[in-house]
Amino acid sequence: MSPVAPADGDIFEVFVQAGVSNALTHVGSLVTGCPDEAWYLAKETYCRRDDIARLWVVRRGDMIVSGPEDLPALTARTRMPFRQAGYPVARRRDRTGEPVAAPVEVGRPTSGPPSLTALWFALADDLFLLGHRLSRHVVDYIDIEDSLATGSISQEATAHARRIVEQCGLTEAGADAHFFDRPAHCWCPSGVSLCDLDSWPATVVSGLVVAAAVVALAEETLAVDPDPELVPELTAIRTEQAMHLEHWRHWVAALAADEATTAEFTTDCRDIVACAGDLLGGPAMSLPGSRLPTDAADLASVHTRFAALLKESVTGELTDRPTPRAADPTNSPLPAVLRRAKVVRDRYRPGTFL
Amino acid sequence: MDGVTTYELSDSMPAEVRALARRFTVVHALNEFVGALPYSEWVDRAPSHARKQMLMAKVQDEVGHGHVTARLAEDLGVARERVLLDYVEGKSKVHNIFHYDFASWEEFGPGLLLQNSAAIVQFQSLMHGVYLPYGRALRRIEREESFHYQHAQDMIHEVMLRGDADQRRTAQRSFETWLPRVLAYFGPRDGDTIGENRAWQLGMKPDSNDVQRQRWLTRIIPVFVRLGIDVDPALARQDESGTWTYAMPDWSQVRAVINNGGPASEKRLAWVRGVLDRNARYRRAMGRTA
Amino acid sequence: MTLNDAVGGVLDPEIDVTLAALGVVRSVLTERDRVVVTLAPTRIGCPALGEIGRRVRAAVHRVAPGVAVQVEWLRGTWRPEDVSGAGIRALTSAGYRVAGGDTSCPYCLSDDVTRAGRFGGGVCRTPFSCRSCGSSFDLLGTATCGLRDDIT
Repeated sequence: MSPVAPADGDIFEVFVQAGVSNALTHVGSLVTGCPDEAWYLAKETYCRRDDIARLWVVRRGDMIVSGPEDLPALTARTRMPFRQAGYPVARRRDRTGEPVAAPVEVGRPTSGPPSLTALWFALADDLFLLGHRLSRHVVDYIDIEDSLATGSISQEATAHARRIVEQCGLTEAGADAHFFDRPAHCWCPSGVSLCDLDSWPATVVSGLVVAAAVVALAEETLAVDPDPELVPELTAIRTEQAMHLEHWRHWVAALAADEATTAEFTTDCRDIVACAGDLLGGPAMSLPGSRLPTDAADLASVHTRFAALLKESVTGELTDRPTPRAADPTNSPLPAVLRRAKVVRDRYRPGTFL
Repeated sequence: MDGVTTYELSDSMPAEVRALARRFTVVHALNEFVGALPYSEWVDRAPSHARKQMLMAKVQDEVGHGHVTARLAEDLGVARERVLLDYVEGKSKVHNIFHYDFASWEEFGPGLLLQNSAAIVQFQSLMHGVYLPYGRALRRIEREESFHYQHAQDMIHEVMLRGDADQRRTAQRSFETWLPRVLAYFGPRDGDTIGENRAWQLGMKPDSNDVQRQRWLTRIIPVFVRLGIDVDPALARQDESGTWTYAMPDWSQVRAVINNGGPASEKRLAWVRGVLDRNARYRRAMGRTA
Repeated sequence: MTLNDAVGGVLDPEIDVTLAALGVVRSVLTERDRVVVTLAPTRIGCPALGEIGRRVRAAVHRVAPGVAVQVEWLRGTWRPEDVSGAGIRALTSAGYRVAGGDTSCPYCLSDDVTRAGRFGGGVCRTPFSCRSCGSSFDLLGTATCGLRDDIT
């Protein structure tokens, strides 16, 4: 596939002012499909070492720039050119033909089949949202031991989500921005995460399908010989999520068997499993800093693993191949969820909490 | 403990000691389960991963402590489900501090630090009680609570350093509002009457409420001063001998709150009633009675 | 005091055991311009990593003031077997046992113990009860260490 030049709309120029007495200087460009993320990505990419007083990010398409033909107009008109600093004693080199420095690409949607990295990156959204919603169920006190299970699972889902995006190339601060600053239309969660999940049976099934998807993806990743340094953590994520899966399986068995709960459970289960086909259908993404595998994933293999895990646990029609996730669906509950999640953070200056 | 009889679960003990052990562990469990509610409400609004993770851990800790104390009560003959059922039936009450909500993140930090540090001081006293299984559990519980103590300080520090004037003012007001409430959490004034207190006589209550209050103020007031909070001498001040004078609400006011007259009392009860009802069929499906 | 001793002597924020005794410290390396401390958390979701990092930096600065400290985490590598003998003793006196090891009651040493659920008050802990003395205790263990199911 030949390289595709990024459209002007996706390129942002970054200007940094390193200290209040310095000038604002151009430090580079970056490419992102999500404009609201551009500032945070710039911060991550260009502002890590020194204290910065100002960070400006401008869309290249919004800039009115000079071209080579403007040089004559730009030549300083002075009667004393020899007084200017840098007055050349030799001929100026013509730089108009030199290429612009290659922009840094972070999290840019691409075409073609997704990599395992891209699948992980998308699944992280669902893990985060699961942890987020599960945390409210801890104090349901169905049983003390279940409250402890729900709490542990929600803590670990949240931690795993974060670690996954860090393995995909984000820094700690970038990971925070990814979950706490990204607007709803930049998220790409599975349909499962957007279902109405307030009832206990729906919560159980959503917990189960997400855990199964993570276990399947972890097993697939381990099977393709990833970076050896990742193996212990991937193995641990797999094992911990398998423990969650086991927990939800007990619940599924109990809810399915009991006559007072079986009807409600069966409906919720069918609805959620019908949405679960896109859990491993994350969009193709370019994540060049990722340590996870970046070549095209064997989608049939990973979906088969997932389907096998589900078949052991729940009934319901799972699609026979991963379906693509819907981008920014209408009537999504996500904007309201994120608005509430940011109600404190938004009242403080960016960078306060890290 | 020299010269003091201590008791294990299977030892024969005076009926009063057993009854007190039962009551202490049941009340402790209840306060952990209901006490988790004002905190768990803020988990989904925590402003960063670090804060969110710590809040989730705090709620988990509380429920874990409730689990431990409910099991201790169970060994003493109290069915686990009675912990919450007695509460909704009006037979048991939670501490005054859990009858209020945190209206904002800025209020949350100081309230959390005051509550957490007070619980630590109280457990450090109770752990020397004569019923040993409870004492042992309290040693672990107290250590685990101390982990959240630093986190609470960090939360306040963030607001005082990075918040705007309004946010800092809210934190200041939170301290002033919560300090008297948490002083009352230790119980009514009893410095002069502790000798007549049966739990003290039996060795289940090693220190009076007033002694605990003094210890607590000595520890916690300097922490707030370091964090940039002004401590009005009318609220608490220390004389040259180190003794604190403090403003505590009238006990009759506190009792009214404890008897479910506080701003969030009905909300707590409604929540527990609601989850007991709503989840009854799921509980039964899983084969448990409560 | 060496850097190793300083870092190893840092106390876990929740239990009175040192990081060295818990087997959490993997290496303390001095590079040209900084000290790199590599630690293994007992579980990925451990909420104490920030606090542990802070304590490690403070400990390094007590021995080597002003030097840059980099804390790295090797997730998924800790095993209960990494707890030292001294660690086991310290944990026992604090009311904890370690998965895969002696699971008798740390207070009365009875074997008549029962697991009280699969999840505890912290992601790295599993709750146990002693049926003999009525005490509760916690098992330090991760999912990878396969808690024995024959203890019901």
